[in-house]
Amino acid sequence: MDSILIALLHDIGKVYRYYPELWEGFPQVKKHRHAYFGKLLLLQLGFREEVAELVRYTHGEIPEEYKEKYEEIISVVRRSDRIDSSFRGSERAPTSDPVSILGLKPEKAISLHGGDPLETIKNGLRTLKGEKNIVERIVAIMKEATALLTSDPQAGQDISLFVHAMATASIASCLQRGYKPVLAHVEVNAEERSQFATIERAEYLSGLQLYSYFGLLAAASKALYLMGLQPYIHIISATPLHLALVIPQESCGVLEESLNLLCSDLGCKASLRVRAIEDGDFRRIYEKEIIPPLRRASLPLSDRRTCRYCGEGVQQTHSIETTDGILCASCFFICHAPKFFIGATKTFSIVLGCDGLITYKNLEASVVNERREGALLRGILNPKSSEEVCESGLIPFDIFVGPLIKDYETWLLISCKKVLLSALAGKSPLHRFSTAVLLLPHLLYKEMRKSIKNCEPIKFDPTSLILQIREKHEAVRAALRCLHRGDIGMSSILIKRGHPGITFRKLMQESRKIEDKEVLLLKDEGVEILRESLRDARAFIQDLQQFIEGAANLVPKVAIRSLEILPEIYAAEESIDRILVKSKLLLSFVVTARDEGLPLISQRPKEKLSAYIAEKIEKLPIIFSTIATLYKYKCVEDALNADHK
Amino acid sequence: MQIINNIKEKFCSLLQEKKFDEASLFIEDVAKKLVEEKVPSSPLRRMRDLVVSLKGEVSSVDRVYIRSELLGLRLEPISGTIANLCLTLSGSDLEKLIKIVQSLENFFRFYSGGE
Repeated sequence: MDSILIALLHDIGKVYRYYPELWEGFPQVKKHRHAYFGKLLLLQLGFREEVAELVRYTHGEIPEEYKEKYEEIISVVRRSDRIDSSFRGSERAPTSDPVSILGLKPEKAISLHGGDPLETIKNGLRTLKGEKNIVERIVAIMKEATALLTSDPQAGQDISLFVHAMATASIASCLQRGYKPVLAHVEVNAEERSQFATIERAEYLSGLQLYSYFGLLAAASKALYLMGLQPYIHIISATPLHLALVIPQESCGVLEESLNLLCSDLGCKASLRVRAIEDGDFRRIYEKEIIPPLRRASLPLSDRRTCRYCGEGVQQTHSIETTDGILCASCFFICHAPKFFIGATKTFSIVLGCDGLITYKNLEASVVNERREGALLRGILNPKSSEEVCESGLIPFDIFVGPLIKDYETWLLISCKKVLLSALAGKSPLHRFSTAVLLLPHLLYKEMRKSIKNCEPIKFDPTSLILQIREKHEAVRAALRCLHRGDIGMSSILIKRGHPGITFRKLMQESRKIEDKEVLLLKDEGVEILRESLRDARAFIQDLQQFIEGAANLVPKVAIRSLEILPEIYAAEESIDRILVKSKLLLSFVVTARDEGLPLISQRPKEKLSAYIAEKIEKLPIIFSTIATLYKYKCVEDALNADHK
Repeated sequence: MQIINNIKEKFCSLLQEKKFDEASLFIEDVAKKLVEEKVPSSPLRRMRDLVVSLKGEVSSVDRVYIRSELLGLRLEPISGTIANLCLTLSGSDLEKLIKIVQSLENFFRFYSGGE
């Protein structure tokens, strides 16, 4: 029995808030109702009575007999909970709201892969008797069942119950060993590799995502293992480019060493930011940039060969000859990673040594696609249902890599960089970032699946989604809807057509240029629509609707007719030029109405229209080109009805 | 009514003084006035075509012909003012005059219904 187990389970009773008929069922319990429900649930699941009682007494008065026997455990858990709960509010009311962060939220509070949260807990934890890795299974089931539930709806929707449980457990793990807990945030610049690669195989980027993702998990797991800590307790969230850990401050050096080795394997830079965790304060302690050694410079000329993909110099003994030519070890594993993990649900284990399917030579760790005892970390990749998680007892990880479909020529990329950065920059960065990481893959993929019939994911993970789509207009309509709503965490959307091999690289290069904006880029048409211009376009039509009959039909047609005039607005230097452009624009309104058989504009509205055009003339090129695109893809009505957030 | 009448006169006097930027500020109101007076659209269209034809290489004979055509439009005082200007204007001043006349016709068509 240790405090980690109790910390993990201490708020499990909060699940009952999502079942009002049960939550209201014990009116005699006035205070700390969730702790009482937690105890009942654990007893029902067959946990030992002392575990259930300890969960009950992590809140409120402790009876003397428990105080004496379990004082240390209760004290560690309460302290961990207090450190992590600076966001705590009151906990009385039942709720049906799922977790929500920066406006992003799933449709309803369900398990991560579609089940009922309470049923998932019951199915997943009922079979605990005789289980060797109880805590690992509890983490897996807690993640599956409580990731999309809020920790405390009264204090805001933005902290996942699972993230709070994990943060409390990892802090307890540090405290019970007498260590000071800190938040370590790692960010790798893995995508820079794809910039230099001559990609003749489009799997390179998918592989890079997996290679980087497993590499980060492996580096953290190895460092934690060397410190005698359980990786699945301390790794709070991971993406192919980030890691968020709660670890003892004393282990930061070991982590840094592991990351150094990983960077040598990945061939890219990383940064490590360490922050204090003191009652909700995430004060920065230090930052470190990790730069891998230059491989080419250290090689004697006679022994130097060049990797076909990344162009790096590589020693003959470290190079691998393939049918595609000579590859460095990194590129070899990057290209081959998707083969082992593409598509279907897979179990994986991260192990020490270099004999796995994906190997990190410098780090001396590997990934195998099986469940292995004694592994540093194990998981189930992309489970299709909550039942799969319950059955395996392994922690679910969502990073999907799919095969290329050669017939689907439209590519849609949605980047989430901005929302992740916002979550990190605000209050409670650990919780908000980790909650966003849990939400994003599901939100993005579900949203796209809902609005696009023929699409296949090339990859989706918390950092971005890349889809191949059969029909371009479907991609544009879905992307415009995302841009209207702004509630699925996208910061940029790129749509492009072309042959997969070449387009894939260009897609990534283009995405890097736009990822800091909320923008839709239709690459082949040279159209760039910012979210702000979409709002302006919508407001323009709505304003005109107030005094021109049928403006919603008229304005898009005027916009298309006026596209040739619009450059004159930018070129107009003198007042005469501006007046001439204005006169042409106004004329196009009446001529379009007449030609299209739409209601004619009467005299009074004409004067209002003239004044309105004069007021908006500087913005008209963007407004009209946006409206013309909306009209082309039949999205004007969507824009007018969109619920802007 | 007096004020509106003055707009046309003010517009023409600014054109005569070659203050084209100032004159441009009155174009829309002048067009509205012409619509109110139920002026037909054809003289304005003809005036625009004639002024635009001054672009490029134009001989003095052409200019005299264009002037005579403008005087025959009976859009006083505007047609007379422009007829006088077309004998002497060239370069950027002529460009400005062309833009003013084009704008005048566009605004007129806008307020009169687009015919």
